[in-house]
Amino acid sequence: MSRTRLNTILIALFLTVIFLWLAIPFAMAILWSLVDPDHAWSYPDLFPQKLSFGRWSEMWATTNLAGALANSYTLAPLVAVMAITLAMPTAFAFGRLDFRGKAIAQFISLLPLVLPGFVIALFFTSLLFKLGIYNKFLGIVVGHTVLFLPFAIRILSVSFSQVRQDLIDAARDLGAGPLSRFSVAYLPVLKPGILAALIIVFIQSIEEFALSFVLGSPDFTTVPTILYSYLGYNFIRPNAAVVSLILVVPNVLLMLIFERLLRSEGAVTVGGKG
Amino acid sequence: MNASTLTGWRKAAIITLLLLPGIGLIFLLVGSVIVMAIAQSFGYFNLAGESVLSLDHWSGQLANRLLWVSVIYSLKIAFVSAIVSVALAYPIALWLRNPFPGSASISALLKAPMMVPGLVAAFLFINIISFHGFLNEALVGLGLISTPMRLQNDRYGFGVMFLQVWKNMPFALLLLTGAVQSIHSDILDAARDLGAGALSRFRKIVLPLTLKAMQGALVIIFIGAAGDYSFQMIAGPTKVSSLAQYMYTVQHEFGQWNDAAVVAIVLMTVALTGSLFLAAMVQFIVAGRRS
Amino acid sequence: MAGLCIERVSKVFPNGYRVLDDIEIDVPSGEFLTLLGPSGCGKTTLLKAIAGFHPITSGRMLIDGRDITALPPERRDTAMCFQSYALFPHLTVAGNILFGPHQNRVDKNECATRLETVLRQVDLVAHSSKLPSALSGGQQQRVALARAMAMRPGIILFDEPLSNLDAKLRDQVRLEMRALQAQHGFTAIYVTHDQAEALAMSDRIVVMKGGRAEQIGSPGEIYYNPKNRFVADFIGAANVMKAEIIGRNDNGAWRINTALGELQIESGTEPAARNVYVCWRPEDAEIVPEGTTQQTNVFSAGVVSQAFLGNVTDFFVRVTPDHPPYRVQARGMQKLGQSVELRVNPARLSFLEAVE
Repeated sequence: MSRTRLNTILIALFLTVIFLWLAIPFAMAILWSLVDPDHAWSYPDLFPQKLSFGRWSEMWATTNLAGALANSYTLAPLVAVMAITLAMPTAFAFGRLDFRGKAIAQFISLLPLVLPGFVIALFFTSLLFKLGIYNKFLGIVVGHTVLFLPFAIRILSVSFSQVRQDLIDAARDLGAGPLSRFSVAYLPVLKPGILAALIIVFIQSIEEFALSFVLGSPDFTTVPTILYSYLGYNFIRPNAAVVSLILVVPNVLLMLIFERLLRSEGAVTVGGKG
Repeated sequence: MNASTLTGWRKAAIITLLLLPGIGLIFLLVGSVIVMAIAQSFGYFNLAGESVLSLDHWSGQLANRLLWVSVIYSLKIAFVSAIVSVALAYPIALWLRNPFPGSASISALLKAPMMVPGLVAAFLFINIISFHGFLNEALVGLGLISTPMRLQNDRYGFGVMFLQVWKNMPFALLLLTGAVQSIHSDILDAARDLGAGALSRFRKIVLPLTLKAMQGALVIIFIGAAGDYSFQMIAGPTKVSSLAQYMYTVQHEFGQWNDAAVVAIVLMTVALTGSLFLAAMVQFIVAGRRS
Repeated sequence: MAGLCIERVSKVFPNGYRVLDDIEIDVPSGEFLTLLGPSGCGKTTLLKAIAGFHPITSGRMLIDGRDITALPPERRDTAMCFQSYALFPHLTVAGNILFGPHQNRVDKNECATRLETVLRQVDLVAHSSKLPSALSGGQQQRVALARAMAMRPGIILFDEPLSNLDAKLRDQVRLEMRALQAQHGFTAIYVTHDQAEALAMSDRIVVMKGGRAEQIGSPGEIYYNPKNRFVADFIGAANVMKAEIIGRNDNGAWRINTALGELQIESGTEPAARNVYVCWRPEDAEIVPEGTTQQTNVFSAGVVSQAFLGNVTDFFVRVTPDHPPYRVQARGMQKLGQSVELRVNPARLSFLEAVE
């Protein structure tokens, strides 16, 4: 069988799998979120009897969805900005300097990714209680910031390493002070990296479940924890569908922007772990 | 700042200052979590009583059958998830190695699951397989079965494994694609020229040259699956707990922070040693055979 | 060692582009044949088609009479030396060399013998357990050759193996390779764009252009008797002119009318038509003293430029203003702008193709 023929068969196979793997689940989720609150969709109906945005408005009015959204979307930008700020000096060191122990430092920078999320969540919480810090918002902000520092450090290190030394030298040679040197040689290269890092940390924070759950429950909710509440013993399918879409759609949009920004395998490897 | 002007003590001081906000914080967090866990496991930092050095928590938990059942279960889930994800990713990575019309779109579509948060994935999954979910409705509608099947929360954890593979295969694909594409075409052609068929080329050239990437994927997927809580809660068996679930139950429902700490350390040890063992095993299988 | 027959082989792309156009070559066993031509002429495509990596659209290929056209690369009796060496980075030199024999289930003792022999032949005995990354470019190239030889194939295919080496090393390895081939008698098909290399190493050369074999012959034949303008110009330097045949002498020499006046040409081949191209090489003309008695094939030219090369001088001379300058090689220097008398050796003029 020639290669093109084999390819065509495989592509057909692949599209069928993708249809089952991705398209149907999402279609179901969208359908369920549009089920009208007054007309339940149950067996033996093949399709919901009535579609409306009623579920969405009902959730907005009666549940804590609005509060969870507010929390998540306040946390995330804050975490993103803090993570980038804290990561910059380290990223500079990783990207442009050589020193003994660099490998160890780089290893340490990856540790939050390797420890099981629930272990970190549980014992960071107990640490906070031991220290007498009971503000949940603060706790999650700090937790998220440190948890996602590895991403910021990794992306910004790559950006810093791409700054050309000869541009810096040329600027210096032409009499530029440190600030001007920074803006003419560093900033253009760093901008996409900073933006990408902000996006990735933002997304990670929105999606993060373990710490928000352990530390936040029961009164401090984020979008993932409210989704979880509809998935447990209290399985309310339409609500879960609504929250799922709220979680996924901005995520996908932001990830597409992120991919476009960096256009390199290395960065996507870092960001895509999810 | 020109790197070459830094020497000796001055350099060390500046490096330390630079690393402090980033690495320093990470070290602090990770360090304190581990210290916390270890200390609590030995009775210190007791949040619900006196802090006194005690080995009881260790002896108690290690003798508890529930702990070991969870260890076996989590190990099983982790091994299967990692191996299946990588095993699925290899043929796809090799298929996509040389671009053909549509390969870029296929590649992007395959990586889509990485953009879906774990909880959402779990929801989509149980939505499909639940009693009134799509799969059952379709099969009943097509007349293949008469009554819906109980697929959710199956006894063996297949649901969890499926979710892990769904979520992690794209990640393995990402790592393996990079590694597979870095193999120069000439090298594969040379192997072919010297008489190696497709299977031989895979075993003797592709596997050894992509070993590092495969090990990376296996280790990261393994650790993630070993420490899973949410997939387990939503789609996992009701009679068995994962280690993370057990740990949280011990802490949350029984208020036993110290015992939970013991479980946490067991979890971390299991995740670490299991993944290293997997990496070593793969190393032996691939590089141990001399061609 | 095996003989190769390429019978009317063509490779046509779906859009109609003929990468290989009706190639017909008969390679006797033990011959060193070079495929020579500019980039895009199809020489590498032909080599890879022989190896089995490029399927062909029409024609056949036979090795020792066996039709191999449908066989995949792993089943053909050919071994290839790649331009990039393509050494397996994770195997030692010994591992690389033994890869092929292991694949073909050669028994252990035979493997050991082959390894030892081949290492001695390429002078790499001391490096047997090193990884390719620890070797220099020249050493890697020799491992690639050893790896091919260890297969004891009927034909070894070379894809510009020396192009990544520096000039001095290239000359040396060239001689070693040729010596090895002559010593062991394997058939070699060698691809290069370096005509000096082709002339120095080959038993026969195939000059290719646009997927076609323009001329096949020994280095001497190609150089002294090019068939057309392309071959004449590609190998060495050539002065090409249009000529009209006006008659023939009693001694067999042809009389032709050219931009240099009436010339005589003694050629073994018949001219293709009344109006043909002819060529002569720079070293085939000599500067004759003024007022010489020799009258045949003498013409006057003005010296336009000269470059002293040591043993000879490269001259560009102009005869008529509308014709580009001719290139002449002779000893000594001349005055620029001065007129000199030149004589072209009638036995060294060649008939090329007819003028369209």
